[in-house]
Amino acid sequence: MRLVGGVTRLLMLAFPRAFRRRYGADICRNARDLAHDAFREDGLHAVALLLGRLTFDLLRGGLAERRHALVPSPRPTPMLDTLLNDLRFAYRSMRARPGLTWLAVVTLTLGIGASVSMFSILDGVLLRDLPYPDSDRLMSVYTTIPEWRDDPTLGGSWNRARWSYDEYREWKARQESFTRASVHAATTANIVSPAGAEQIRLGLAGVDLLPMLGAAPVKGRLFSPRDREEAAAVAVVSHDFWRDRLGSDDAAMGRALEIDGEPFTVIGVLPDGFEFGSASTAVWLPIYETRPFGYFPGNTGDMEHLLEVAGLLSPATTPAQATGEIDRLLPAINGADHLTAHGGAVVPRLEILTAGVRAPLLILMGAVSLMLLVACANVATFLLSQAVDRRREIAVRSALGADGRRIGLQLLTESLMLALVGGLGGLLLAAQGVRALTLLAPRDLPRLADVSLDHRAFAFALAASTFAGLLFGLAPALTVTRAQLAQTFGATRFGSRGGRRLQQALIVAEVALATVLLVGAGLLVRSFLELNAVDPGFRTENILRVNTSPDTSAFFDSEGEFQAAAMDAHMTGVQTRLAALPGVRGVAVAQVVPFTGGAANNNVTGEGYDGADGWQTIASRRFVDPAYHELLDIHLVDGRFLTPADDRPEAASVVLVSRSLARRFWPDGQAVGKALNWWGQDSEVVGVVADIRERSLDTEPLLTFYAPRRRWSTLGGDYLVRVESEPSELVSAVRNALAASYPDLVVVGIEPITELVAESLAEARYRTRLIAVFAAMAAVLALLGLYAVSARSAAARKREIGIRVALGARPGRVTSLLLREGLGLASLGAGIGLVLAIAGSRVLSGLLYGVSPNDPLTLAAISLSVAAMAVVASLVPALRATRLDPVRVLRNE
Amino acid sequence: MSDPRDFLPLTAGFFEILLTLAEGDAHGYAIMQAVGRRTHGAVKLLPGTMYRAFARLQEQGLLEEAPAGSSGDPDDSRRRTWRLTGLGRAVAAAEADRLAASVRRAERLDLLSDAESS
Repeated sequence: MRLVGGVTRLLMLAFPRAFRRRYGADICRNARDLAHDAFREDGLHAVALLLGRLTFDLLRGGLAERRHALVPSPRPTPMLDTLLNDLRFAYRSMRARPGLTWLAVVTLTLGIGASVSMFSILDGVLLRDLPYPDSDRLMSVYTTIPEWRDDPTLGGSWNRARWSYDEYREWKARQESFTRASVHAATTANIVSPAGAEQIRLGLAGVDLLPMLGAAPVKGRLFSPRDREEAAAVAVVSHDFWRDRLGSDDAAMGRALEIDGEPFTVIGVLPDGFEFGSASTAVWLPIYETRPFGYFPGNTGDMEHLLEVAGLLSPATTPAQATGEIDRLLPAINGADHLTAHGGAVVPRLEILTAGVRAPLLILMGAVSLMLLVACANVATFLLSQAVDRRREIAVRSALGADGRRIGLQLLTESLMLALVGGLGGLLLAAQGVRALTLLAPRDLPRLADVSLDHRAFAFALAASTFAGLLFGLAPALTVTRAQLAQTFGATRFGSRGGRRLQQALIVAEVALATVLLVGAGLLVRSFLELNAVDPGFRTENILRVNTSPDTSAFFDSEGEFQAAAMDAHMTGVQTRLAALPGVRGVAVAQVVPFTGGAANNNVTGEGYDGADGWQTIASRRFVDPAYHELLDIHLVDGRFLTPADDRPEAASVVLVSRSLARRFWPDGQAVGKALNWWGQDSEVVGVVADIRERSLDTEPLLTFYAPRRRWSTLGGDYLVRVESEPSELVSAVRNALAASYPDLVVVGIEPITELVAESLAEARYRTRLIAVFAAMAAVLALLGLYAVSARSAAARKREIGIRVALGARPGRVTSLLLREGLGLASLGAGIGLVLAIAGSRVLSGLLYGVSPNDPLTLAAISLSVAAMAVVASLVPALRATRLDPVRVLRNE
Repeated sequence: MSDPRDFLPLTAGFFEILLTLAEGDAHGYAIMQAVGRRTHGAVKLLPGTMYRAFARLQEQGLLEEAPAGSSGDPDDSRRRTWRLTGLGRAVAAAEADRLAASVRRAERLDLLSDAESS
């Protein structure tokens, strides 16, 4: 036996030391016992056999145990095990409480759905890369002309000045910051294609532009240096144009298009979906040094500085360095031109495209995030009250051995599951939400076509759900892990004090956030109303705008000489035809229609003005019919309107000036009779008219002067028609009349001026609506939360109320007692919200018109609204509580 | 608590150990003998294998050490005594169910011989 023991001990060395220490003694004893029994039954023979088997067993076992010590067996790991269990448990408890679960899921669906929708917009417009190769290096290059800063017309583009071809050529030859660069511009033109005559958006591109943007033609080719050498009249068309106007015909290559009367040969088709500058660019023409575009005889002015420059920055260069290089090259650039640039500006193309919408979109994203926080707080309060209800269940689990941490983790898992389900619902909602947001969006919102619900939105939804789940899951999880659990088990009092406190804090937070959103929405609504109420200074009702694009080639004779009489005859003819329509009070030709973004400027100076600013004043020039001002009810300040007598080619040159222009040159008020110098000649000022807001309702009026159009033989296509009744009723009559009398005239559009005004407000309307929706959602959620807390509070105090009523307390007193809690929370929340709103008000100041960010009226109105909502939310449960029969309540307790 | 079904299937040795302990606490050698008796020698537990089994079963929470002497055997006061945990009991039951189901399936397929198993 001792031999067996010794051998066993020896063989035990095969096992790891830890195992030996634990079980070594037992194994040896067992071995001895076995040997003892074996000897008793079969003698030494059996013992020998046993030894053999023991050796084998221990050696094999020892090695296996050593291996096991290194690599534990692949059982389901404890962590994975508990996670799966938690998920199963979470699912079961969610099903056990369908009411709460639905409420939470719906709340989260709304919050996450709205956030994901808004994120998709933000992502598509601001965050996503432009669809060109190396788009992060794609820059727009400008020169800067600081003298323009104070100018009313040009002030906005002082650091975004465009180039003339001469300037560009000098810069391009010497620059080293860009690996590639090219010029581009955009305009509109009349085109005659197999589909007929129409006005299109025309893109102008340097030979290298489209290749630089990675456009690979699906048919034919793009512009080449050979085209430039030959100054070939070639054109590249968009995919849509090829499909809609050329019938997707493969033989379209080599076909001729007539653009503004000149023939161009189609050489290529761009890929589907390619866009640069404007989504609706139908045709691209090449820019050569020798080929001026947009040039009409009689219209000089600064038509040469039309070009924009786009380039790919060299990887080793920063935009600042490239800007510095432009500064250094200024002498060469300026030497070629009559404008004096003072510097350069190199800006990422994405920034140029999205500059105007960046701030509003970020604000909207912020607003929807606040709303999501309110939703999370709401779900947290629901879960908290449920956590208290589950005290018993949790206490039992605790007794079964789960510690506070485990229970807390389990509750957190439950919250995450809830959040993920809500997130899934939110994604489904967002699919519709994104569609709605894009449909309602202003048409000119850049990159709207890039907005879609894609994997980035999914990732955002996942992140938002997880964040939400952790956020609202922490509240009940933390509360429950407190040791107070054991104490409250069996207590009748409502909830652990900590849980109650947390719930109240959450309600306060909700009300605060909702207040911030309501204040923001209120300010924006007021601002929009102010904007809407702005008087542009001219009549907008009952005026129809008829936009035509006449074929200008008809006004040039065979030698290329402009035939003013022909053009005048055409315009007068159209004017007469329109005036003859029933219901029309008058028709005026307008060179620039208000709210269409058109511009025509001149350098001007007034008699006796010493021009101290060193840079000539730039004013807006308008060629108008004498009837123009009366048609639009523009107020005459001094002197007289233009008359038909002024409107003859041989008449003396006279002008009307706007009040601000008169004040600029003749502050003493004596403008009438003075001379205005423009286009190198003097005109007599015969009248002063009121300023009008032509650009947009929130832009200050421009310095403007008006000259008779026939006197100057200008080309125009816009007619303003004053009608007796509703303008939209005459649209078809106008269209038919023109189609009958001028079948070849391209009618671009017919719309009431009121529609143009409304469109100019489209962006403000959009963001006001969105923030109002988010604020309303947040307010409803906060109201629900307040109601829930008040209801629970009233329910928990049933006994107290019963006693009070039994003792003779009047219902009014009891009601006010219960109201106090709800109103107290709401007041605290509203107060905090107001402080936050005031502190953050500067954020909105760029979007507000006519309203200060701290507008006291709005703040007061919102405070009152929140108070009213709080009263309603707290009143209902309070009233119900007082109607309880005290006897029943006390008996039940 | 873990799901007992996660531990299935058990090896024959593990199952026999659990079965033995289902009758009551026991020390190592007693288990060894009981298993040999019950299975008519079909399952022979040797110390190395058996104690490794104890180690695994204890890690998984199916066994635990009972206070010495709880097996009721008077000369066991110094021996390490083992006891089945609640989980262990559940696992043994689950394994028994599994085996029983297999036996029923075999019965339906007429695979069982009339001779007594083992």
